Amino acid sequence: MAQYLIRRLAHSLVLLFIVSVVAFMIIHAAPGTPSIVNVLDMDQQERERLLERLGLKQPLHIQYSIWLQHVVRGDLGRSIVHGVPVWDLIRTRIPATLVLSGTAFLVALLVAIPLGVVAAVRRASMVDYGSTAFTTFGIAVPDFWYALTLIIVFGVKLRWLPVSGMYSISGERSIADLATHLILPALVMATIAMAEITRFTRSSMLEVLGEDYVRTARAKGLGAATILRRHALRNALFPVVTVIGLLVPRFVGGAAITETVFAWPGVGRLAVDAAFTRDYPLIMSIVVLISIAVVISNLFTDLAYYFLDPRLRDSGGV
Amino acid sequence: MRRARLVSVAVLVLLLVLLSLAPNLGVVAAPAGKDFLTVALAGDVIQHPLIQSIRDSIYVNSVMFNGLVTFDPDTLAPAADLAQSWTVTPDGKTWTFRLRRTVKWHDGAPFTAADVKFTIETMLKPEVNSSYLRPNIAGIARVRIVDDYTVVFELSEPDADLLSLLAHYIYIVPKHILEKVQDVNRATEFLNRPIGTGAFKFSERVTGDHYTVVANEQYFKGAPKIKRIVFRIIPDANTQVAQLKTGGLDFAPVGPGEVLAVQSDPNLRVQMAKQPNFWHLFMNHSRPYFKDRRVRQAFMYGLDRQTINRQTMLGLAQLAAGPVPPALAAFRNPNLKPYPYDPLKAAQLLDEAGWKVGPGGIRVKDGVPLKVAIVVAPIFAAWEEIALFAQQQWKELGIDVTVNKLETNVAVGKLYDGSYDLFMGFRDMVPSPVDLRRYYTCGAGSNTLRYCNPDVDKLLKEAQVELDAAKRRQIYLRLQEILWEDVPTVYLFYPPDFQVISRQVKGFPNAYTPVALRYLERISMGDR
Repeated sequence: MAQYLIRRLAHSLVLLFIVSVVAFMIIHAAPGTPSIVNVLDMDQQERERLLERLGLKQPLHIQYSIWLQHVVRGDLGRSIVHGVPVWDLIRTRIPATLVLSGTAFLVALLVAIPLGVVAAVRRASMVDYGSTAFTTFGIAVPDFWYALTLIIVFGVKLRWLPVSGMYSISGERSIADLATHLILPALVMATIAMAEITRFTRSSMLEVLGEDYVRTARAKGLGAATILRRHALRNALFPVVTVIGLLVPRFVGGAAITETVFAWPGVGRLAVDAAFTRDYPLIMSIVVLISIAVVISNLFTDLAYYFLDPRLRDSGGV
Repeated sequence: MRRARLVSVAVLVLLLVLLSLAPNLGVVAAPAGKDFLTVALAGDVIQHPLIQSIRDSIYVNSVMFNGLVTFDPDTLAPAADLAQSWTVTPDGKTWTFRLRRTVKWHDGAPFTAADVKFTIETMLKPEVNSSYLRPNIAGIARVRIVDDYTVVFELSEPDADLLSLLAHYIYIVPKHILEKVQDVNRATEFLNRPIGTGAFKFSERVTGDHYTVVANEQYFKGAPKIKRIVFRIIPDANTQVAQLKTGGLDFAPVGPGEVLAVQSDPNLRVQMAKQPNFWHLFMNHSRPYFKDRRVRQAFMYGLDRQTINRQTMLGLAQLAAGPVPPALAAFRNPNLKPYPYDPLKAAQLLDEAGWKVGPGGIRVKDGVPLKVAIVVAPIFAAWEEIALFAQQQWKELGIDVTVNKLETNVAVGKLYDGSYDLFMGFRDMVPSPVDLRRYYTCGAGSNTLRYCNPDVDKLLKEAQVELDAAKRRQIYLRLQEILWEDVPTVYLFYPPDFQVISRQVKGFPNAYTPVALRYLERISMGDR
């Protein structure tokens, strides 16, 4: 096991390096320069000199190698636009995104998996129709419109929930306060995730229920609940684990649109702003961090398979 | 089955839409008698005054810092701030400022002439990233301290408009703190805890969420009536409107679209402040077709700005006749009227200039079709609409127009490297015609039009050295006549500054946002 982990670590480092090179090339291939250089009414000469002082006139491979040298020493660099160390910017935003994404993810899983299972078991019932309608809605609806509509309905018209932000501006930052602010943005993110997970769970479950061993179990006289618990569920959940693993990077990166509309101070919004303002050090750092999250989540997914599937265990390893 | 699914989705959507159209059911907004103001900020970047260039930064710094001079909120003329009086020698090159004696920095240290000298000298250092600010004070050759409360600026050449430039761009920073910083471009500590002389001092910041300042009881113009200001970072305009309606925001500068959304709300009012700003379509004078004045005039005559104003600005903007808006009443030439919409005259001018209508309806000259592209950056929502109208109207003249929507960074980059034909933009002017120097002087650093007119240069130079206000005004009047005739750019509108203000706010200055924010010690929060 230890050997396996060490091998994975080595692979991951190589992967991260490749990702950083590709990201760097793509970022610099995009036209445009950082926003602080593109204020209307700047002086032409001053603009050129500022670009030079920011190190942006040097050849790309030199810029990359300078960045890399700093990163391996733990220095993520300084944001061109904000003027403060990149880590200062990111570290306050990561918890915000994790809270939002984590809650949304949890809610999605708690609702979607049972819903998908029930929809498959009670096929062609009201529950099944309802879940399909809901899934179609979740996948089709544009999240920007959805978020704004929720704000208008629950925030402005009904005044039941706060309109935006993570906490109220006055008063203590209590858990209760955070909870009320979480409801709408988490709902937006959860709906979309729920839709995908429900559909996947349902179709995976349907497939499993059609398998020979399930028919054998039924022929043996086992009750529906027992079949579900002992045979069907575990097998049906495999593909779902994959889908969840694929969703993690999206959630760690933060849903930029949701964070923008709800003015949630997360990493997703920071990443999009960084991209639009060509804040190269900030973009690179966020890309690297998300890559690390993806690597870790893939590792966990593979480990999950290992523990869930006895066949992998018996064959001597992943 | 398919029908059932479709129907259920439709029902869900319909439900949401109906609920959102319903009248307000909930309780009334924010509690009465609150003692703080909430202001909307679209972005999260805060720079300190030595390197500020981004609008949101400048807004926040306006409440924490002062300049030597500021602008009077009613007349927009230069007014006393940290300097209480000043004199200038007849040759316009030596300015003496007498400073207030009782001003303290937020940390209690006394403000003196040394702070002024430090601020100016640091900004002038080429390695400091005050790229946006520096050209305006480049004429200051030397700063001399006479005593703790008297400072002298010696200019390399006379500048009659120095005060406007100082008032608009320069906020004074504390020497005793920043001189200890190794690199002012990286003054992280000062950014995390700024110290100024202003009406409010820094209290708290949560990046991406809000920036809070509290009242400076020792403010030299009198203690503020409110306890604090919270700048809430809300990037989306629709969310800002939602917060205005629920009392989560008290003040936000908005666009015409948002005005429509709030105008019937009894808790809010819309103030349309005059601003020294005008919108125009930059013309690139390196393009051969724009070198001919008749072509430029044709572009003006061929634009139905009344319709565009009605359709994109709710009819609330004023048609522009030149680069001096009504907000600068002291300098404006009242005799110049905006070009009328005269497509026949436009066609005639283009014919005279040699651009004849060819096959396919597009004008051609020497085998080259008249083909232009308008670059549009998403700085204001109305810009794209305006560009589309211009495209339609000019197409009728036989001009092949494409609208090129680009990200702001890319678009502005094209303005500077000259790879554009037309650019939808604005001049965010200092409240004084001094900016004309940087934009219209041949070869000047901000002359992205690449416009060259020796008569204009001559008048601008004369205005620069003319200290007599009445004579300077005459020069500017003459200048506007030339620019009216010469059409260096397609003048569009003087848009008002649309400000949405909660009715709980009393005493909000009737001035455009950058100046209004300098006087927030005057406001109080009451009942509606």
